[in-house]
Amino acid sequence: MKIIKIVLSVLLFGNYSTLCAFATSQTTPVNEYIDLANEQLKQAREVQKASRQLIVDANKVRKQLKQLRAPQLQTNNFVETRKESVSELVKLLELKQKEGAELRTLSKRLKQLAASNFEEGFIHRWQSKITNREPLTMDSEVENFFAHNARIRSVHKNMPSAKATPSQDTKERSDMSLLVPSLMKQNAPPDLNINAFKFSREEKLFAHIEVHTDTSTSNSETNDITNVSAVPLNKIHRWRLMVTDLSGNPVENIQFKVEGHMPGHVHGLPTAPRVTHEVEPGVYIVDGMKFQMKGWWVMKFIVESEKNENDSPKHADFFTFNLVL
Amino acid sequence: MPFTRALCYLSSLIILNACSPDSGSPDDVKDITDPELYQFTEVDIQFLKRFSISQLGEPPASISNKFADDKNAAQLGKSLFFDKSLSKSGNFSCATCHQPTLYFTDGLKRSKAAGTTRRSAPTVLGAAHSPWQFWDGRKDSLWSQALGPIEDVNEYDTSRTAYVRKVLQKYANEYQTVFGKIKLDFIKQLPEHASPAGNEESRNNWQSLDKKTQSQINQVFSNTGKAMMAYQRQLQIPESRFDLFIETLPTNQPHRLAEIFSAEEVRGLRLFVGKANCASCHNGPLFTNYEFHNIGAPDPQDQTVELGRHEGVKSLLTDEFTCLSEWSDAKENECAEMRFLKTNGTELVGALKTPSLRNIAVTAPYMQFGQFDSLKQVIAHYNRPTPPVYNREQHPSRPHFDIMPLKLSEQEALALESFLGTLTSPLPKDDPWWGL
Ligand code: HEC
Ligand code: HEC
Repeated sequence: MKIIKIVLSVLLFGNYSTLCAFATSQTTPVNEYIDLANEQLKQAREVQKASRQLIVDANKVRKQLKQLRAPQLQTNNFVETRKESVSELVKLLELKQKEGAELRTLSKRLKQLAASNFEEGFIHRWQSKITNREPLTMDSEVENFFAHNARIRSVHKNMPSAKATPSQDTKERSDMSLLVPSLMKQNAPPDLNINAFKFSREEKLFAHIEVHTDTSTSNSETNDITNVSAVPLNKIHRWRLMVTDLSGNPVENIQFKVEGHMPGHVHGLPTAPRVTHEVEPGVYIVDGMKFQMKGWWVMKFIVESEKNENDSPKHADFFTFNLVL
Repeated sequence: MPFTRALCYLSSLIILNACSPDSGSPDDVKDITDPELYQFTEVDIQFLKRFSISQLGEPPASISNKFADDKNAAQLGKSLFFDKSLSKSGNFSCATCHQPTLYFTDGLKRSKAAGTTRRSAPTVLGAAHSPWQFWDGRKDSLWSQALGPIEDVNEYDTSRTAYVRKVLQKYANEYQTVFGKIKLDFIKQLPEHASPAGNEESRNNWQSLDKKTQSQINQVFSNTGKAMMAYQRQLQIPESRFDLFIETLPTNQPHRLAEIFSAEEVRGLRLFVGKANCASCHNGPLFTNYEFHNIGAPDPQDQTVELGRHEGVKSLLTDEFTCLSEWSDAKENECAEMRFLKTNGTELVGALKTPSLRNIAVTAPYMQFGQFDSLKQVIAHYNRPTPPVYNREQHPSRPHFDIMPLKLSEQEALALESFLGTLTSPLPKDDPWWGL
């Protein structure tokens, strides 16, 4: 079967390529990483397509099953044959679902591989400009104490206000007798991708974020940032956003819209950050960043397309970076 | 009565200080029924220390006012703050609504001078530490804020030219000591009332002035604000019983702590930072995070709804005297808060600046319209809050709501209330800046 073949080749190639990337990370020319990443991305898309097809097929089978099981068909004559075909269809359905799920996982894994290989190539290419590869954090002295737990919005006059439930979540800590409230619904999922390197949603661009520590251009307030992987609490600061296309070449003149919010919390950033300038091809300065609390934040950089104004915002390409501060 | 209460704290502070050096002998151990209540861990103590007034430090450096820490400016500012003759009627000063004996509030639901203000007067104590002024944060500095009341019809009800003329007539020397020599004769040719913000006549008069004169007036006008800002930056908050308690915590002597805080007050403190979750917004030495939240204090009937920060940012965008204006001493790129001002977002709708809870027990009534007369009512609201009502005609979007019911027992509510009473500082009779 065609699908199986793809799976096999992909698995082999995938594993082989990681090994390869590992063994030669010092000497491999940039392009090789980037070529590899592109190859993996291509395969990932094919596998994803196959996976989607399987899901579509599975849904067809499910429909057939439903029809067979429908009460109006329950006449005695057909009982036996129907039983047979039902059990066959059930098997088929399970198989398609299983394969579909497997391929989806595979595609995801391939994309991860592609991203990490691309990151490697990206770093080779931008070596002198990258000051930090690590996910962004917040200075560790800042304790996670003061967070307000807003979960509900206003209600309509006629709505019963009883919907709001008491906030009883307090942190039991062995070293404290005070029951300081914990952050509710703030905990990021354990497998959350918090990489500072990401493909765009449409997988047409690749970007890296880091805290901008260049003191020559920043204002006095941002000068005291020393830990390059840590964003400050409650202080306006800058980021660098570096963007390339899939060949690893910087992409210039992108207009970005910047958004940030805390999932599980109905508020955004306290400021309205924006890209203020492009310091060199593909290196954008994001100014006005400010985080008023620790926790899980999502930063979104939306690529504003100039050409087709009619493009619905849904179709705009964007980068999403998760931060767990 | 607020004063007697404040006096009590003052005397209790003195007595405690007198007997505290060595009260460790078991004879004078107070009977503590619940010793665990007074046990605080190392981490507890570190955590609570963040609320101590000793951690406050100087107000953040001002970028837009280079006279912010100039003592002469502060002196001039003090004179301006208390001078009634600068208002149109000669009856009102800043201190009419920000009275030192009432911890710079006025005890009213809505303030009264030339008219009645829309909202209630907050204290100016600690305001120097806040990045935004007013309940809705519609001013980005204390100097810009101080210019508002002068031209407000409900407050000084005067105009820019009238005010500037009076200031320069009365305080010519003090003014020039701080801001440098200026030619004073331009005030002689000014119309009685002229301002870009006044009534029609006043606005027309302003239009008839040449750019240079307008500029001279605005320069002096904004400098008076800078002097009043310098003044307000000098206002210190004395230690309260709460601060003494925090300071005494590291001794780990429950009986000494029990002399400062009753068991009920300790329970209240534990609730405040714990189950009642007040500290999530009311935190730090001034008991505020300076952020904007909607806690759903009910909008009074027959009134436009409170749009809070949503409206505040709109005003900031058109304000004449922000950090970005020509009257500011900052370079444009230093005004980060204004450059990256958040102007949209549902969380701005109906959101107000978290007020300080210092001296809260003696500064009733509460909330932006004085909706609550007592702390009991405030706590009852937090305990079972009514979310803001969505008024489709007036709200740009469904207002945000930032709190959840606490379901505190009656006893817990009382404990919380008694804790808030420990945040009252004695009136510093000898601090000249307070003008007591
Ligand atoms: C008529 C009474 C009145 C007078 C006079 C008055 N104020 Fe106020 N003040 C208020 C009210 C009411 C508010 C809150 C208004 C709002 O937020 O919409 C306020 C707010 C303030 C704030 C903001 C505090 C904070 O935490 O946001 C400061 C600072 C202040 N006034 C200083 C002054 C100064 C300086 C003067 C004299 C130039 C003055 N006030 C004159 C009533 C008055
Ligand atoms: C989500 C943030 C938040 C939390 C949590 C919160 N507050 Fe507030 N508090 C505010 C804001 C904002 C205001 C001003 C609201 C208004 O005027 O409508 C306020 C006002 C007050 C006032 C009136 C202050 C004045 O000068 O008028 C008191 C008293 C107060 N809060 C006490 C408490 C207590 C006690 C708790 C805990 C039970 C608490 N707050 C929890 C944000 C908060």
